[in-house]
Amino acid sequence: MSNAKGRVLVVDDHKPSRLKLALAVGALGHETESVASGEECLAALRGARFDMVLLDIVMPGMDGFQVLAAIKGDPALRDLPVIVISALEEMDDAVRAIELGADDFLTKNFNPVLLKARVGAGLERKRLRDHELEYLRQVDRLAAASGVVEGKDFDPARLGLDDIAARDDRLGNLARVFLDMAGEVYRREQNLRKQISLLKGGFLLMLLGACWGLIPSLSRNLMLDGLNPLGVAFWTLGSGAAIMLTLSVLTGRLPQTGWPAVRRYLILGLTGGVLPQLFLFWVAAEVPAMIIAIVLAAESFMVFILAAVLGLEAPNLKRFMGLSLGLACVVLIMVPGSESTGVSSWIWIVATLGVPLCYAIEDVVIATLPEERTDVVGATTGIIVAAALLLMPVTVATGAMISPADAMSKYGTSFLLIAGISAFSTMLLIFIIRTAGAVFASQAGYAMTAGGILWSVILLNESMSVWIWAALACLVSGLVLVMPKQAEDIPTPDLALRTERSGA
Amino acid sequence: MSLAGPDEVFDAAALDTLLDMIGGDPAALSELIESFLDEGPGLIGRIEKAAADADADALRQAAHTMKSSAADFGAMDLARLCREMEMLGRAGRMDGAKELAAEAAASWRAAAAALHAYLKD
Repeated sequence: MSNAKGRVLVVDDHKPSRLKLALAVGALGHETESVASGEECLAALRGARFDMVLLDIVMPGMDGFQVLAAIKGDPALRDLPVIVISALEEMDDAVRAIELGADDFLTKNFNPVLLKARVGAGLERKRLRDHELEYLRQVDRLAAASGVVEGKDFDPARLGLDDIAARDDRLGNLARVFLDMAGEVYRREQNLRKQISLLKGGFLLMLLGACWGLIPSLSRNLMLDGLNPLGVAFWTLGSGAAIMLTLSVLTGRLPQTGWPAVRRYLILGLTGGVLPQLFLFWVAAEVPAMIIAIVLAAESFMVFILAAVLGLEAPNLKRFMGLSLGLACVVLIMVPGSESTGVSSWIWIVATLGVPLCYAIEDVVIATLPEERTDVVGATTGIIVAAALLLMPVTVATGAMISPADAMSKYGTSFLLIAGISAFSTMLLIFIIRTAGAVFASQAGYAMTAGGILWSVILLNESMSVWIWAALACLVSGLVLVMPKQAEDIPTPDLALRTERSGA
Repeated sequence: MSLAGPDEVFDAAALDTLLDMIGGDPAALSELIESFLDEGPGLIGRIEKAAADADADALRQAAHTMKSSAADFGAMDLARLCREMEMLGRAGRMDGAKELAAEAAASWRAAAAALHAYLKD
């Protein structure tokens, strides 16, 4: 016989009888609770877990038979053992109660040994029934898990079968086999996805590099005409704002208008729009497009360092080495001097670093702002418009404004090209981040650099020295070391939010 | 009217059985006795009212409840009288019910006095 202890509900309208029974059951080591009516009994059973009910039959209001019928009619309670309490001369009542589903009976003037035996036997039945129900529930869960697998979700962690697999019986073995097979399929599926992600991400990066790589060459071409960087930046940002506003209105994805959003647009417009464009056009007059394109790769390195220092991204040796090779690229350009690179002073190289530095600072600013899940087109529009509006008074006040007539007739195509390519590249970068992950997308700088070199050779006839080839080798090595999004890679806030970059 | 001897009014040996039932804790037994002494007057009142109103079902229920407890606490005469009244109620007969109820009330008073004395001891 089981010595298991249980929680017993005593039901009797007469206090001395109720107290006697509760004391007797308590003396056997069980936990007891007492109620004085059938209604209270049902409320207690539905409000807490009990292992057994000791139920008096003769009670005013709802009598023991009615309570018994209610218990046996309730799917949540019907497996609860019920022992009815009746007087010795009321055997007919006891028989009727057993016919209604009671497990056993006791006389009011019970023998303690008999009480112990019958309560013990009832609790043992309850324990066995609980085990049986738990087994059936686990069989149901295993069957439900097969439905999940049929729905092509093979992730073992989402099947929730670990406790069943821990069983030391045939059901446990079945669950283990099921989990192992699902896990194997899941791993293969993940590997396939990773490979597809790598191929897709690689193609998109090349497209991005080809598009954005045009910017340094176009900028260089413009600035060799001796234009004021402020005027050029205003017109490119203004054209970009016009393009984005058109897109925004056509798609119905408008910028937000509340002060927190406007403040966010202004901050990002300054750090990601105004400042890097001014640096870009300023140095474009002095630095070959190829060098500008290569130096821009330093952004990824700067972001990585800043993110690691601020604790926004966990340092990873492999990625760190990849990004360090990107920096080595910049150093290889600076070391040989003007004869090999075509830059009159290394100061201009340092000044060129201002462009990626601005972008890196923008990334950090984004990471420190409250995270918002806003529409990308609306947000990008807001940021570019804010950048153009910020730049306009400065451009006018310094007399750097290029007249609309000159802007349209002489440089309109270049301004529109730079603005259009910037907008398209921004959207493409966002798409890459969403499909291949933020870490992989952070390599966009390298792809843009490669594209920049290509276009500088094609459009401006710039030449590749041995130093630049060495720099390119570093760049490619860096790309290899930083692999695309893995299952454990979770986009970090700084990189994910870079999606809202406003311009070139 | 039947007459009861002293042992039938209160049988102290029944309390030993009761003590055994509840695990042998004398404090718990005292608590039980006090509970019976608290509830008793109300039950006797219900019995007397049912007899006076000729309410057979009410008499059956009240007598049934008092019967079991009375036997537990050694009030054997009271238990016997309640058994008779319960049978009358069950049969729907009320002849002699008032007399039995009066006897039960007297028997209760005697048993209660004995139980009070037991508690003092």
